[in-house]
Amino acid sequence: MLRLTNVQKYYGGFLAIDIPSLFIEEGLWWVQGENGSGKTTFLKMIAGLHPFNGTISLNNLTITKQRQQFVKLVNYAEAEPLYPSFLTARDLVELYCQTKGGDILFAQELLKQLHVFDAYTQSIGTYSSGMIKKVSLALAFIGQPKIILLDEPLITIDASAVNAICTMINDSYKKGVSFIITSHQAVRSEQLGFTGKLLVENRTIHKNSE
Amino acid sequence: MRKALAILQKVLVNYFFRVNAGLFMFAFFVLFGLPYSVLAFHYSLITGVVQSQTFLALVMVVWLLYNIKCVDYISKQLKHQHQSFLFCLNCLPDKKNYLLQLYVQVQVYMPVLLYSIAIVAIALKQHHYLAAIEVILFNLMVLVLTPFLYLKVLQRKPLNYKGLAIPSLGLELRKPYFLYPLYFLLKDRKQMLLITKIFSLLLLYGFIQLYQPERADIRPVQLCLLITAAAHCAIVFEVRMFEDEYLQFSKNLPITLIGRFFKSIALYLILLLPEMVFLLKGIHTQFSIYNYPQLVLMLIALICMFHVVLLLEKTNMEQFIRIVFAISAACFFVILYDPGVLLAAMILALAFVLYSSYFYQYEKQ
Repeated sequence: MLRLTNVQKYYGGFLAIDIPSLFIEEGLWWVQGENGSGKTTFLKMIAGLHPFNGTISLNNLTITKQRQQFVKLVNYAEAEPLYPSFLTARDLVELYCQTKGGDILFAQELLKQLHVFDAYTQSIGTYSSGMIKKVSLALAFIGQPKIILLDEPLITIDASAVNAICTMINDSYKKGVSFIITSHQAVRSEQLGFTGKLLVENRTIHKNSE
Repeated sequence: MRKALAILQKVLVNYFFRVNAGLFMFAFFVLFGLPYSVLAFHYSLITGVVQSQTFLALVMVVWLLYNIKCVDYISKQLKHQHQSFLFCLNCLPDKKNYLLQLYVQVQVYMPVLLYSIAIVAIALKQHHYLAAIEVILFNLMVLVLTPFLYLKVLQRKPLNYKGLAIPSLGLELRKPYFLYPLYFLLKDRKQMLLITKIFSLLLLYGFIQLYQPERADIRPVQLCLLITAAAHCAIVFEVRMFEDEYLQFSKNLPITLIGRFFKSIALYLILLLPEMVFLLKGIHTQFSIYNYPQLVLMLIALICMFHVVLLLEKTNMEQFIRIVFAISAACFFVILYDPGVLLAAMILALAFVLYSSYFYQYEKQ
C-alpha cells in the first residue's frame, strides 16, 4: 500500500529522518517513539505538509508526481490543530467536502458523535482546544481516503469522545481504510486492534519485529 | 520592578515594533527617504502644522489613530493566553502597576513623542505658543490615560470597547477559501489595511489630480502603480505569515498548483479593487481605456511577485522590504523604455514559475 524509498528529511543540515526502504501494508498501525523522535515529521511528510528527499508512493501514486490524486487518498489530523479563528466548523466541513469530495451529512454526523455539532456555526475562536481537536478529527474522515494519519488523536479530548473516535476508526477500518496513528496513551486492544507497530528510533522507522 | 520592566519590554514593546516593522519602515521611507533635503522638508511641514489649527487637528487625528493601534495591540497581547503569566503583575500595588504600563505606553508611543518634541521646539521658536501647548497637552493626555486601559485589561475588567467590528447582518455567508486572508486582514489587521488603503488611494488621487500631461502616456501611471504596489508590501507579508501559521492544513487538500496561484490572484484582485476603480479616473487624461487592462495586470503581477518572494526562503520584514525596493527599482528602469504589456506578463509568468517550484518546498521554521 504505502511505500517509502530513500526518504530523508533534513532540518537545515540536521538529518532528522532517514528511511532507506519501508513498506506499510493495509492495516491499523501504531507509531511509537520518544518525544522528538520524528513521529509527527513522518506523518507530515506522508500528508504532504513537509518537503523531503526520496519517494513516498501509495498504490503507485507518488506524492511528488501525482500530488492531487495522492492527497485525495491521504487524510491527516494534527496533534495540535490550528485554524483561523474567524472560520466556523461549517466553513471547514464545506471546504473539505468540496475538495476531498465528501458528504456534508456524513461529516455532520461525525461531529454529532463527537458532541461538537452544537457549535457547528460558531467561529473556531470561541472553541476550546478539545473542540478544535474534535473538529480536526472529524475532518480527517471526510472524502474517500485510503489511509488516515492521526497524530495523537486521543489527547485533549474527553473520555466519551475517545470512545467515539475509536468507534469511528474501527468502522472506517472495516470499510477498508488504513490508519497510521501516533499515541503516547496506552490503547486497550478492545478499543483499537492494531495490526502492528511502527517504531521511530535512531532517526529511522521500522516495523516492530515482535 | 526592574525585572518586570525587562519582561514587559521584551514581550510587549520589542514585539510591537517587530510585528509592525513593515509599517515603520514604510513610514520612515515616505517621511525620510526623500531625494531632496529631509530637514528642509520637515521644517516646512512642521511650520505648516504649527501655523494652521486645521492641519494640527489632522495631525492629532493621525496620532490618535496610531494610539488606537497601540492600545489594540497591547490589549490583545495582555489578553492572549501566551501572555497570561503577566496576570501576576496584579499582585503589585496599583501605583507600581500603573507605572509599568506607563513605561510600555511611552515606549510604543515613542515615534509620536519624538516628532512632537520637534513640533514643540519649532512652535516655541516661531512663537506659536498655543500650538505648542496643544501638542504638549494632547500627548500628556494620551500618555496619562492610556495606561489605565492597559490596567483594566490586565485586571480583566470589561472595557466596553469593541474596536472596529465588522457589522454583521445576521447572515451566515459561506467564506470562500481564497478569501480567508482577506477575512484575517479585516479581523486582525484592520489598522494596517486602513492606513495602507488611505495612503495608496491618496497617492493615486494626488497623481491623477495634480499630474495633467499634454498627451496620454502610460509610463508615469505605471511608476505611480509601482509605489502603490510597494505600499502593499506589509499587507502581502501579513498574508504570507497568516498562510504559514493557519493554512498549513490546506497543503493536504487536493487543490492544483495553478488553482492555488489563481486563488492568490483573485484575492489580490479583490484587495486592490479600490485602487482599480480609482484608476478609472485617469482614463483619457493619463492613459487610454485600452491601457487599463495592462495597468491592472501590472499591479497584480507585482503584488503576486512580492507574495512569491516570501516563499523562496524564510525572509524577515527588513529583508523583504529590501527585495521589494530592488524589484521596484528594476521595474522603474524597464518602464522608462515602455515595454508595454510584456513587462507585466513576464513578472506574472516568473511569479508563477517560482510559485510552482517553491510552494510545496517552503517549510515553516
